[in-house]
Amino acid sequence: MEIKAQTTAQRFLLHADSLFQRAAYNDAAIAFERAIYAAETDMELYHYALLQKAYTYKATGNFTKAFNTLQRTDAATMPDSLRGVVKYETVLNAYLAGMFKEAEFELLQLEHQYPNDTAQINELLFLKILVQNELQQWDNAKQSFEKYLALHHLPPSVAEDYYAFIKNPRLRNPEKARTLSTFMPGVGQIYGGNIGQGLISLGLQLGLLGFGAYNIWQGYYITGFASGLALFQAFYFGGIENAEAATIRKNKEKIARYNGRVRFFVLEVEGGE
Amino acid sequence: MTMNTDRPPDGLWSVVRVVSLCLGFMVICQWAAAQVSPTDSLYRQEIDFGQYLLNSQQYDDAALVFAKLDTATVGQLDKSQADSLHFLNGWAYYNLKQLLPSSEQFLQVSGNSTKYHASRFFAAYQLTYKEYYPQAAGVLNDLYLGEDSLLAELRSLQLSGNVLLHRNYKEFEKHANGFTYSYYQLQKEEENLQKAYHQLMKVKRRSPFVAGLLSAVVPGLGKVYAGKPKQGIASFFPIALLGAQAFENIHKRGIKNGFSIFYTGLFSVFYIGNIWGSALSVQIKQQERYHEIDHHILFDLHIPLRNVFGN
Repeated sequence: MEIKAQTTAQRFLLHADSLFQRAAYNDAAIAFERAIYAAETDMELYHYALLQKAYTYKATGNFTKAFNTLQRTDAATMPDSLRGVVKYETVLNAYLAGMFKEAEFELLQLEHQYPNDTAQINELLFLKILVQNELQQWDNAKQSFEKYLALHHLPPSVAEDYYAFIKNPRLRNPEKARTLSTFMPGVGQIYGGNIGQGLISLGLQLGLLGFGAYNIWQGYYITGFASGLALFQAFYFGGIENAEAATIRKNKEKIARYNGRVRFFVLEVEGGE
Repeated sequence: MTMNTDRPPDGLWSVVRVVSLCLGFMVICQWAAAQVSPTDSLYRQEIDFGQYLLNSQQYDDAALVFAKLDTATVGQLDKSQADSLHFLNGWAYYNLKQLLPSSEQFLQVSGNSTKYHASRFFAAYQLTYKEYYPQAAGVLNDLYLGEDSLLAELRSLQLSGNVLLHRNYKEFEKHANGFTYSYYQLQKEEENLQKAYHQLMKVKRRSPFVAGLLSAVVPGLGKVYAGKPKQGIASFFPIALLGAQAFENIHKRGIKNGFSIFYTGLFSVFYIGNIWGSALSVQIKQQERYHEIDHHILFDLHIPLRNVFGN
């Protein structure tokens, strides 16, 4: 009976593999699920089919689904031959799906459960750097990067260059930008690195204030008050909000630039192998 | 004479006959089992797989498997097989919130199926949700419920919600008069529908014309009348300020001065725009209220279905 069930599952698997090779990914995903369903006690086939199903999702850019499919694997019953590749794909898909916390967890789990599996730990080192970068754990990322450089016989000075920003990441405090703009319109934006926006904000507020004051001086009290002062206060409070939002945006840009440089380097090395 | 001695005694003979009959029957059964048509085995395999997908909440894949099975076996399934397939397919679409394809599948489940009533009720609910009120009522009214008083009351509940959403208050009263409030699965929802009915009756029918007129007298007053007091106050101040500036400039600079023309123009645009906006806000407010009540009605129609049909 068991032999018969296995042959059914294997038949499904063969069919799924052929669909995958023909790049019929949607059909292949269901076909692999069919093999998973039919696998019963054949744990090797079960895990192989799950891995292949994850590949179909990865091929269509559906990294979250690929990650979730790989989460269905069971470490206790998975054959050792698949363990490495399943772990690799799990971390990779988590990273590609933007699930950096999950990727970090998978990496920590690997180092904790298989501290002697240096081959796999080294293989995943480049992803570890990228994940730690995204989580802004730059000190850890630098350490990983130094290990990575040593592993690829590259000069350690590269790490100092690529992580030079740690000493002064020039990330600005959005709260401080708010406070600055509250007392000195436009200065919060300039502090956050948005000089143009700061000058425009300052100019608008001075202009409106001037217009209001001039009208009141000329005896046009209502116009001075409503067009000058009322609009001034709108831009004043708007400027405070803008100082904070613009600083947050600028910080994100800086982080993306720091990480992007390291990512480009690491992927060049990986691609060159 | 020798025959008589060779022949087993009558009691034993009958046992042999019974045994041989049984053996023959078993052989026939096995032969019949071996004669399962390829359609049957395909059907069994795909239904099992589809149910596994449903159980593991892979609804989109389940729907795809059922749809493929449907096209592969068209005209070859017996009635009960077709019923199960349509029901499961409807269930997959229901979970995907594809309400019309789901109704289409549910409505193909025949009267012989144990899932017949569930299918019809769910189909009718989904048609109601999609605002096909007469069609949904038709499905419910055509149901044969026999002696089942729970289902009869469930039908009254569904019909009353249907007509309430359709704003047919007379019909609602007719259905609601039949509510017994005696079934725990329906009691709360019956009360809620009564509540919704009273809320609908209380939704104030205000005139867009009056709102516009009020806003012409005092900018923003029309919005207060429509039931949006904050918006009314928020639109009063800018218009009042613009008006005051226009007045000041005309008064001090003369009507032909550029500033006067600019402020008078700006004031006029906002003033007229606000009148128009106030007239519209009457309808917007009313629709918001209707939408909120309708949402609750649909919720109260849905819950009893899950309670009664146990899913």
